[in-house]
Amino acid sequence: MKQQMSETDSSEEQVIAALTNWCGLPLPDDRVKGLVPAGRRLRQTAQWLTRLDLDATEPACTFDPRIAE
Amino acid sequence: MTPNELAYLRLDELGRAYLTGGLSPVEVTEVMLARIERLNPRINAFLKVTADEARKQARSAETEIHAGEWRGPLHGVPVSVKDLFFTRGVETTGGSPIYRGFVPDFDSTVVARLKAAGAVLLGKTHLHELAYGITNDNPYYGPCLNPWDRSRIPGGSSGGSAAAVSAGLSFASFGTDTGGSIRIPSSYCGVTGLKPTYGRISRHGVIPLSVNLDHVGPFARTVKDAALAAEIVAGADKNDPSCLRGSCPAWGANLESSIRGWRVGVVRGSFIGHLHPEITEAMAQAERELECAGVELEEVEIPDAVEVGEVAHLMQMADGAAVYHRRIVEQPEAFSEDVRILIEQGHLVSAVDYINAQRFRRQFQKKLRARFRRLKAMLLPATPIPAPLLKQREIELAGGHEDIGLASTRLVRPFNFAGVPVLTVPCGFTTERLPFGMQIVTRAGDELTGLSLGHAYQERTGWHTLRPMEA
Repeated sequence: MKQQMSETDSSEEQVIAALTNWCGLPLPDDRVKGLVPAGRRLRQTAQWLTRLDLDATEPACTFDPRIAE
Repeated sequence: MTPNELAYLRLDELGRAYLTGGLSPVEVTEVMLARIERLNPRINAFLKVTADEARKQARSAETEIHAGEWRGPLHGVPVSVKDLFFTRGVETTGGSPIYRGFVPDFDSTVVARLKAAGAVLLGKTHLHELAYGITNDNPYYGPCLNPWDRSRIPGGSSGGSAAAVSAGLSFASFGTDTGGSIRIPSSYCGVTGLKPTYGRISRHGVIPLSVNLDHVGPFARTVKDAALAAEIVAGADKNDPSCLRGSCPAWGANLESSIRGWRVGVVRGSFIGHLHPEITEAMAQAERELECAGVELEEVEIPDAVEVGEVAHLMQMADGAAVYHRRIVEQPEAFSEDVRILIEQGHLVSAVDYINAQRFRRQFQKKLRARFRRLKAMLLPATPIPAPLLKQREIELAGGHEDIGLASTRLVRPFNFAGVPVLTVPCGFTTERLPFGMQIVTRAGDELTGLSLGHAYQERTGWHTLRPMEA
């Protein structure tokens, strides 16, 4: 289990390092490690969203002045 | 009238005194500046006091009022704005070294409209670094402290504005709310705060955090004052494409309608979670007060409320990372650790995650709108706890421990996500004399219902009249 946890952590760190690097934000190892808990939280939320029945035809704009109309 | 009594006048009382010659803007401004000089060192509510400019504005207001040129309820009234609002010729720091020395060459729309209304700008209030936190424990400018208990935080990120209004250092103040930053300090400092409908007040010239979740709103000591202050700066702005079209309704003048027969939901369910026992008791008392005023209460649940908070968090992380991406790459040392990690993690949100979050947002807004077909408003606490101690990281609640940040934001986040208006009013005090507030949530575009309910509540209770400190 401990080995699995280390492997999990290591792969999570690799993913985070790759993602942030891809986004133009290369991070040293200690900062990557520090992002693992936050990354897990975001990933859980993202996975929850993928399980919803969301309307793919709904425009996903960043703001919608229709909100009060 | 003593200076202390003067500092706590309502806007209508101040206006009447100006029009009858009982008081003058110059006199009132001097009282406020002296008060700030005496009390601000104790609470650090102001980062910058613009005394010379305030005196100039006060003299101008006085001349106009004497000449019969009355501009309205903020004419000659000393107010303040969070140091996130561009103010021409005045350093605007965002509470961060990133903006240190930055002096805008134009006013934000809010500041421009305050000036057009003849308000007297006392200065720029303290905030959490880049508005990205709820403690206002700013490593670069020192902490802002709660006027009720200076070992505690005022809440954030607009803590300086809330503390200034609470301590009688400003008749009204403007802040922003992305994840509770008006409502949390309103609760912790015992003042009235309004997070209006998304887009109601222009964000032009306001340092952004989240394009989706940022709202601008006022702090005041009464609902009527908050309504009057808000409507002066609200309304369409061609400089902010996310601003609602059309002018702002007149709220302040329309608050007296009867609330008898109004159907109001009391939010229950797992979303509410554990509350400080005195807050539970105070909410029950607030419900009884409203029932005595003729309101019909029923229980209501907010759909997916816990998950909504997490999706709002995801969206905010991405939005904040987009704002500060370049800076975090070039100058990571310019951020405190708390803020740096928030901006870094925003880079972990994919475009697909973000679009799904937006689609879910529409779904949530529709479900909430459905609730408002039956209900005029919903009530719930603003915070589950009163103000924590400075540097406190966790709070003990119902036998468990909760992170201060999560505890402070869990009851407020869904309404930034939905973009609906929320009024926060003081609804009680703990036995340690710490205030806390109640949220009144209404449907998008309908601030007036919430303001009317809050006003009726304040007519029946006195929590909003209590004062934390004397000069």
